[in-house]
Amino acid sequence: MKMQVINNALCVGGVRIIEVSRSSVFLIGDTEQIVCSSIVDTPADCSAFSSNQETAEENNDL
Amino acid sequence: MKRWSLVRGMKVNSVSLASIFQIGDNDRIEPVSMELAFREGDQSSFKFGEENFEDYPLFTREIPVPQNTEPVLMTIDNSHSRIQVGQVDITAVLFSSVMQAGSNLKMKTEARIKHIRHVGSNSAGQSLDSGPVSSE
Repeated sequence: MKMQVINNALCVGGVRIIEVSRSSVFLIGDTEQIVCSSIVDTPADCSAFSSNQETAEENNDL
Repeated sequence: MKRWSLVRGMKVNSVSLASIFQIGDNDRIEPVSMELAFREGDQSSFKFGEENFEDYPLFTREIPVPQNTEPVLMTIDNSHSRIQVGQVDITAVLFSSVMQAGSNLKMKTEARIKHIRHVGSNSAGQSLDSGPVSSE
């Protein structure tokens, strides 16, 4: 396969990001290859149960 | 010819957990981070150094990489070109993420996170991949 790319000027006013997380990439520039892999495991049944009042707040954090 | 990256200003609050914040060019970036946030049962029973990544298949299994089956002949014309960005505001760069103003050739990022939480006597079962290989 042949591919021809012509890059002209690229102008962005501003960028505002809360979080670049879990093997993500934010790139202002060029690259040839990006491989991002991430495995995350927090199933729903990992929620905490307790008679303490504070766990209700923790579940929200999960 | 490489393109220029022009950034007027950058404001980054935190770069942590094997993340990279780079200004300029480089060849290759390969950050790896593994995390095991643990809290199972009573908090007082937790001791540092008890858990090993090898006990959980999630941290040792091989991640499949898509194979490039077709050769690509790519020509890039960057003449009279640049990437121009105004103000960049980022709150956090976390877990082997990359923020770069500049060019590179290859990036390979990897993050594996497990976040076990069983608290109290009424915990509701286990996750599919959770248990240590040697059962408790």
